[in-house]
Formats: sequence, structure tokens, C-alpha cells
Amino acid sequence: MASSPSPLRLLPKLQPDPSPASPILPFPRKRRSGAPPTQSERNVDLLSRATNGVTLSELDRLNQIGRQAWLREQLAPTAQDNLVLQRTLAELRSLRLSISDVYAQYGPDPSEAVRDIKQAAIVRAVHSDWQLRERMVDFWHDHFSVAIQTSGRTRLGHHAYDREVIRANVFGSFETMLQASAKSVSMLEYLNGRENVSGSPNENYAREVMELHTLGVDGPYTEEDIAELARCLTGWSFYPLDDASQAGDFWFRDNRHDDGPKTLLGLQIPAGGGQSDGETVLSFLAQHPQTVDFVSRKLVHRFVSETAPESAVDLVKGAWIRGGGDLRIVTAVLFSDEVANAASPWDHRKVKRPFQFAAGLLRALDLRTDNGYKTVMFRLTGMGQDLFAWPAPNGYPDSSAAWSGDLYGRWEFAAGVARGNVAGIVFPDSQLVEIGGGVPTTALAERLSQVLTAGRAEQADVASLQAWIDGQSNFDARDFRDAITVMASSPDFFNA
Amino acid sequence: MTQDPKLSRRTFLGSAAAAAGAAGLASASVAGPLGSRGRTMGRDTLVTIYLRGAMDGMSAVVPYADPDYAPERGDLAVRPPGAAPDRAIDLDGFFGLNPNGSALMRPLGDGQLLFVQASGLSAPNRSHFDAQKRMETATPATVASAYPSGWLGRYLQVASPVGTTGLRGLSIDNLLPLTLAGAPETIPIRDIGNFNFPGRALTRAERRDLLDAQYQGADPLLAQSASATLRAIDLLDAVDYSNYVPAPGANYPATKFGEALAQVAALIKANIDLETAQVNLGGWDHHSAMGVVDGTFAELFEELSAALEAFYIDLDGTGLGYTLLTQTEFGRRVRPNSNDGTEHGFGSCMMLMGPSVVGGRVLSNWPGLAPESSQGAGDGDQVNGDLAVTIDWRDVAAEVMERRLGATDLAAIFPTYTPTFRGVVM
Repeated sequence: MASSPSPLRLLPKLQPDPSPASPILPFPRKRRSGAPPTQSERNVDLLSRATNGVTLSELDRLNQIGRQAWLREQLAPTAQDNLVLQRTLAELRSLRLSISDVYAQYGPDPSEAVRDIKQAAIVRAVHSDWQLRERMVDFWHDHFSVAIQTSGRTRLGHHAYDREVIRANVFGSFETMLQASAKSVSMLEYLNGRENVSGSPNENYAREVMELHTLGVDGPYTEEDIAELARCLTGWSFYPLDDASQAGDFWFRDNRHDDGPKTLLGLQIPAGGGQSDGETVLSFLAQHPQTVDFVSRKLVHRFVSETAPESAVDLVKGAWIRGGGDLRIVTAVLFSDEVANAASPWDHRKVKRPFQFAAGLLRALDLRTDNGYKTVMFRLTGMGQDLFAWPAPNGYPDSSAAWSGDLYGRWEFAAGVARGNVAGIVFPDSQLVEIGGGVPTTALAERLSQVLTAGRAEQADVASLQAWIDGQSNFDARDFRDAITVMASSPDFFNA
Repeated sequence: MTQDPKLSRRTFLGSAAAAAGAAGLASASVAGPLGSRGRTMGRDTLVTIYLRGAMDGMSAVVPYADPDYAPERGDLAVRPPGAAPDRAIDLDGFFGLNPNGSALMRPLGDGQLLFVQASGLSAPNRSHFDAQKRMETATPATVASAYPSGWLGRYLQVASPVGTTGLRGLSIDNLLPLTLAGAPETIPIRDIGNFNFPGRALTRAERRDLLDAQYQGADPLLAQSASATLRAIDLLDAVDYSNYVPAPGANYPATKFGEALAQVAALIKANIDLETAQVNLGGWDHHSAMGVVDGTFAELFEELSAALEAFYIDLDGTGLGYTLLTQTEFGRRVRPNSNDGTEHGFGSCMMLMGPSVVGGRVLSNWPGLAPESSQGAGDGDQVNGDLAVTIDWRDVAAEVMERRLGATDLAAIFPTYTPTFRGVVM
């Protein structure tokens, strides 16, 4: 910060204007719980769930084209994206490398290269035009969670995992994603699949794939089923990561496979099936009604409401069954008006996880980075969500309760961003003018409610902030930044 | 396990030999009148230290007199007590302390430090995360839950608060550990010396009041959390840690862990009715170049020991009641791997420190290290190549919880388990 801040009153756009050229947009007032939502409220609600934070420009576009057209667009992302995103991603040099190239350039423990993937996730969450895709990528990374701190091998595998297992299938087939994760370096290393060999089975992955990836912890499987599935998967491994030609490729090691017959989940796996043993069971699991139920429920919990009725879950399950696990169809229904009508998500807003909180703040304030959000990546650790590093295989928690515990990290981040004190985030005073949008300071709290919460902040909170603004004798840039800090630290911004 | 005839030749080595044989060490722990060293009223502050990555208990508290130890451990064996400085420090004629832990001799000599050797989970589990989850939730695998509560979290849920400050527990960390999941009035604090209300100092008080009012109207969970955080900020402001001076001789290592323990000691001395504090020390996953007496293990164990000694000295003689407990998810495989490291194992060693600890000794039903004829053959002392567990960690923790923290419902803290008290605290 400059030692003597420029008083904003000197900037023409923030002068009280007797006839404002750009009036305050007609945003919904605080809604009464249970009342039917207006179209405007529905649009804000959809963006708050399908993006990493509502922005006025995205809302403007949605208001113009309507929810169905907006969703259709988002469900069919093209390779194109905006220039800000492309330029920022271009700085992250290892992004597109194969495993063998990561190995060749960064060695057996590419901690540095893995930061590129973390930073890219933040860059995309903030800037990508394909916000829905980024939201779904975040979900599937949790669903098929791999803690990259496990070993150098999980770090080496992470580029391919992010790109080829998660991103490639996010609007594709659930079964393809499941099979790809099962054969990835990341998962084989993280859940010890590589060590699962005939005569000395390691059941770690066999347990988690049923408990977490498919049937769910209440699913119809027993300890014997776990042991049998582990036998089916014996010999699943990957080529050594220093192997120049096929580093990290899936490697079925015949001589380590238990080739006897197996019985599990009512399936008979005859002897001699080799690699197909595991593939058969994974395919069976992917299509199991209990998997459809478990994963649909999880999606609704994440993207619709934590208290959604069965009717909302049923709609998503119906889409899953209709499309045979086509995630584009599942996602389309997940964000449809029908599901929203069933669950009223606008009355059950979730607490943002730190990732969405941070990305949402940067989106709302329309800020840029000059270090690829490297600092934001580190600050996420302080907020409790170091990316791809949740230690357990169940992924970062998805519940408002879990993320209501530590507010301090997010408060600290909000204050740091608003004051321009987070290295790598560019927030000059000139940007305050853009945020102020030409409204008089006497309406600034309402303006901030629009910018940061799409007008959904409680009236009492807006009023108390406005009273504080009115009480500043010489309202300047620092005060403006304080006002942003307050709104971004308020419960109004903590709720998605 | 006690019925096992194989054990009979060794069981005496635990409590009996330690108490009688190592007179110099053990006398202190049984000398003073019961409770005279501890806070006579109220409950101890429980300090838990999680040694993440699975500490090799055998390299900390070395069973040098076990005839199978040296041959099985090979190059990684710590040499038996002797004149040279790289040798184990004798504790009781059977166990010796890794020489890098010499700082522990002070609390040990005062009878306020106890080792619980060959302790851990009730069943082997070689996944770090899974084993930590088993231990931190103290919940059997059959009761797995996606969002489980921690054993200390459940304790704080059922116990009435000691004070009214609004800060019952904390972790010196970015996140609460699973151990504290579900704990009321408990938050993670990275650095108690820098836990100020964020933002511009000039407007801090005004902005704080604005947020305080806003959160009072928020959803209950956010409202409670904001209240706890704001109260903790005020409380820690009053503690004024930046001007904290540890007791003379309490030289905390200049590491993140040393600093964290200093902060915990300061909070205990500030008398703010803190009920529990949690600190992590990671880096114990020594798969290669382990350096038991002069390498990576040695340095980490030295740091741990120095920090514990400083903590001990800092609180010694204050009359403040605390019990400190170290845990780790499992120990290491008995035989080294081909990289001079060790693989994931089973039994390890816990430490217990505090004025009410019946210490100055090694508590163990030492299972022995005789190898099996083949992996998992069950005809030796080892379990699949690992040190067995003969004391469930919950026996130790449950006794502390009942006797030092006044827990009345152990079944809520340790569901489906009936602990056996081992006489670890008064």
C-alpha cells in the first residue's frame, strides 16, 4: 500500500452523482424462506452452485440466455478459453508433460511440478469460462481422492491423473473414470494396489473402491468380498517411472496375479481370467444400483443441498440409469430446474469450502495474478484445503459443518486480498473504481452486497456496513478496502 | 496375550523389573505422596503429540538385551550401553534410550516420564491414513463413517467445560486433527502469537464488532464458530505470547515443533482453563537411510526429546496439572529393508509425561523379537515380521482420561472397548 492513500472521493466515478448513469441493478431483496423464487433468484442460485462464485458479468449473460441455454453451453466445453486463462496457464510449464517427461525434467520427486497442477486448478477455478466443468473436476478429485504427499510416485503420477483420469472423463462415462483411476499410477500407489500380489494380498484399494468410489460404506459387501476383490486385482501395477518408453503405463503382471476362481458380490469369476477379473468386477460395481444411489446422493449433497429430499436424488438416479452412467446427462439433471424445484437449494445454502471461497473472492473482485496464484496455493493450506492433499482417501469433507470450524483462515485471506497484501494478487486502487461501479458511497454497502453476494446479503448486515461507511469522515481507498474486508468476511459471503 | 507361555520369561521386565531393578529411576515415581506433584483440584490439561509417519519405537527405547534384537535389526541396531557416546543409555537392564534422547533423562529421572513399549492399535494396519484414522477416531473399522468424530472430540462433547473462556481445546496447526473432530469450542491456531483479528489495525475494533453482530444472526454453526474464534482472539491477546519468557533452562528447539510446544506451555501457564492441546510432529516414515543414531531418525528424535525436556522444565514446579501423551500410528518392521530403512510395522512406543505420571520406567509386556520361520507363520514372537502390540494404546489413554481428566463415560470415548488400566498415572 502507498503510504498516503489516494482519497477515492477525488476519483470522478465515485463522486456522489445526482443522476447516476448506471443505477443499482434490480437485484433480488433478501428472500423470505419458503417463498417461491423469482427467475432472478433462480439464476443467482444456479450460478452459486454451478460456478466458483457468482460474478455480475456471468449473471448478466445467464439473465440474457436463460438457464437451459447456459447449462447446455457449460456441459459442452470446447478447447477454447479466455486469454487471461490461457496466458496464466502458459506460465505453468509442466502442465502438459507426460509422466516420463515429468520424470526426465524434474526427477523422481517432482514436488515443484506438482505445484503447477495445484496452481492450474486455482487459475481455472477463477478464470475459466467453463466453470461447471471446474466444479465437477473438484468433485471427482474428491471422489477419487489421491493424497499427493504419499510419495514421489503419487506426485509423478498426478499430472496424468488430473488430465487423463479426472478431466478427460468429467462429462464422460463414470465407468471409464473408475477403470482409469484403478489403473493409474496415482491410485495404484496411493492405495497400495501395486503391492497387492498373489499370496500376499493388500486389500486397501479393494476396500476403498467399494466403500468410497462405488457402493458406499453401507453397501452390500462383506469382508470376504473385499478379500476376493483384492485377489481379482492382484498383479495390477504400472511400469517403472524411469522407463523412458512406457513409464507409468498400466502393467498387468501375470506372474503376480492370483489366477484361481473367485466369488464375490454374487459374481462367479472363473479361473484364468487374468486382467479381466478386476475389470469385470469394476464394471459390475460401476453399474450396481447401489453405486448409482451412493454417488447420485453424494452429487446432490455437494451441488444441490445437504437436506435434499429423496425426490431430488431420484431424479439424478433416473438420469444416471437412463444414460448408463453418462456424467454429462447426470450433471445436466443435477443442475436442472426439476431438481431445484424438488430441493429448494436457495433456502439451504452451503458454507463455501476454502477453495471456492478463495476463487469466488477473486472472481467477484475481478482480480488478476502475476505469479500464477502461487501464494493463493500456499494460503489454501492455511485455510485447511491444501489441494490434492487430504490425507484420507475420502476426499475433503463436503459438509457445511466441517467447514464452519475454522473461520480465521478465510477471514485472514479476505483481509489480505482486500488490502492488496497477498503477494501475486494484483489489486490496484484503480480496480476499486471498477468495483464501486460509479455508485455513491452512500450506497456502497449495497453495491458490495451485489458484487460479492449477488445481492443476497442480509439487509441488517448491509445496513450495519453502510452505517460504518457513513461514519468515516474522509472515506478513502483504505476504508473502501476495509468495507470489502467486512463484506467478504461476513456470513453472507461464507454461504455459497 | 498374557496367557502366552512364551511371554513369561519377559513379562517381569515391564513393571516389575523397571520398578525394582532400575532403582535410581524408579524410586522417584513411587516416592512422593499420591497427587502431591499434581494439581490437587480440577482436571489436567491433556497435551497430545501425534508423531505422524509411524515412529520406530525400538529405535527410541531400545530392547538391547533381547537376544533377537541385534541379529534381527542388523545394521540399524543401536549398540548396547557402554562407554562410547553412540550407545544406548541404560534404563533398566533390558531397555536403553537412544543416545539422541538424552534430554529425556531429566523428566525420566524425576519419575515424570513413562515409556509404554510395544503399544499401539489392537490389530495391524499398515496404511498410515487408515491407521491414524483408526487411532484418532478410536472407532472400529466396522463403524466406519465418512465424517467421524475424534476420541478427544467426543470427550469434550460429554464433559462439562472447566471454564467459561470459550476456548476448550486447540491444535497448533492449520486444521483440527481428526482426534479433535466434533470438539466444541475448539479451533486450530497456527501461531498463538499472531492470532489477531485480521486487517488494518486502525479499524480492527470496529470491524470486529461489525462481524460479531453479523455472525450472531447467522446459521448456528457459523455463529458458534465465529464466537469461539473472536473469543479466542481476545483471550490470546490477553495472554500476550509475544512477550512470553519460558522458565530458566527451558530451551525449546528453534523448530516449528519446539515453538508449538512453547506455545502450549504458555497457554497452560496462562491459566485459561484450556482442556486439551494437540501438536503434530511428522517425518517418521523412514523407508531409507534411517540413521538411527546419526542420521534422520536421530535428528528427529533429538528434536522431540529436547522439546519435551524444555516443556517439562517450563512447567516443572508450577503446580499446574498436565499430562502429555505421544502417539504414533504404528511402528516399523523389525528387519531393515535393503535401503537401510524400515517398512511399515505394528507395535511402537508411547510416551507419557507429567506431574502425575507414574514414570521413570519402561512399561511393557515385552513380546520378544524371535522371528517366525516364514512371514506370518505364527511360530515366533513377531507378527508378520513386526513387533507385536501387547498394550492397546486405549488402555493408556483411557486411564489418563478417567484419572486425570475426570472422564466418566469411557464407553463414549472408546466405543466397544473395555480398557485395562496399567497404572500409568496417579
